[in-house]
Amino acid sequence: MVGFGILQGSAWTPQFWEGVDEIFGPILHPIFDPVLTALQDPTFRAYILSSIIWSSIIIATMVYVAYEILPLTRAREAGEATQNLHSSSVKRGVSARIPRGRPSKSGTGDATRADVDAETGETEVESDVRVRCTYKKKFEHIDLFVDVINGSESSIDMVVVDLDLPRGIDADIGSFRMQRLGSIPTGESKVAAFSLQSSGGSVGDIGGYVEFLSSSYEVSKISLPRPEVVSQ
Amino acid sequence: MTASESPERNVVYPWPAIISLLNFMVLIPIGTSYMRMTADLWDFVFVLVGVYFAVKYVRYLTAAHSVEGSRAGPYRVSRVYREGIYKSIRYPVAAGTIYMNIALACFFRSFALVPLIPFFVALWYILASWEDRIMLQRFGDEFREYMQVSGMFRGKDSAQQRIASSGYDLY
Repeated sequence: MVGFGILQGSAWTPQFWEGVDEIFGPILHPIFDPVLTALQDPTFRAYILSSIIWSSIIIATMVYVAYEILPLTRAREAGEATQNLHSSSVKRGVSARIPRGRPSKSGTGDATRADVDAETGETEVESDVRVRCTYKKKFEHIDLFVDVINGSESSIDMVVVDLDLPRGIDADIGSFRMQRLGSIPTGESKVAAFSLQSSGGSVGDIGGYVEFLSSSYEVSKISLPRPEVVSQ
Repeated sequence: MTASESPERNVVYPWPAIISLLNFMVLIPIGTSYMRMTADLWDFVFVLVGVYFAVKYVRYLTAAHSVEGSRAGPYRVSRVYREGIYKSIRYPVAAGTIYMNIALACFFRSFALVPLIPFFVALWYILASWEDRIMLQRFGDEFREYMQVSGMFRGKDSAQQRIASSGYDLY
């Protein structure tokens, strides 16, 4: 007890520190002495401080630009692109949820769904969920296939394909105008096959839409593109 | 529009970006002009505190924008978001920018920033209150309940969240 008391009393004396220095000095002096000597220089200190400050500000600014400014400019560009396709079925936002009517004929002055999609036979919305429409015709019988390709980052659910048949084309006996495809996982596709009967109508006038529930529980509708013939 | 990119994700609500821009465009030039040039111990302490808040800003912004639909404004948002950082903080972008203001004050160590920072904090508060009001009008009790379990700029502690989610403090 007496010994402990003596040790306690002499714990922070200069002798104690000399002892510590004797033990750890040979290891620590070569490491810390150059650093401490360098930090004596006010210019060097100011230089370090300035580096820390400006690198932090630059990193924060880059993060701000990446997360706030770039999406804003990208959205503006996307908005302009959408305006260019104003009358097409490829629309953004709320307007994309409004079901489209049957495509009107070209030459009415407005760009139509058919004008936009006639070349590819494919509707693509924001380049992730794509719809492809093809058909085979044998006399009066038409087999129509609607491919829904989910190229988005998450699965889409409650996928429904609903046809809007023109005059002169009807669903075949035992076939329906609407089909449910259920869920489509990321990167996969599903096909809805329709059996139709033609009585003089034009296959090119077949319209309709694909409706699905996105990952954010938003119901989205994509108009069917003009059907492409596969084989006669 | 895609399955993952709902309409609300495609539309970017500009006000946070605009206020941030205004905020930084005012603070950084003024701070730079009146920056304290000394490099003593306390300067190092202040700068390290500033780095801490700058890191917080980066973390908040990253966390906020990793939640899908976070860029949609109060009029466009289709539901109340409670994922990720939104679980505890309703306006992480505003909170992060306020932290960045503190970081800038610590970096520049100038009294010239003292009256400006509260002004911008007030601006963020006004924007957040306005958004709260719109969200309450749109989502009613659902948002009111979310307000109970989350803070405007700072997350509520787990005990408060537990009490609020139990529904006891609603009565």
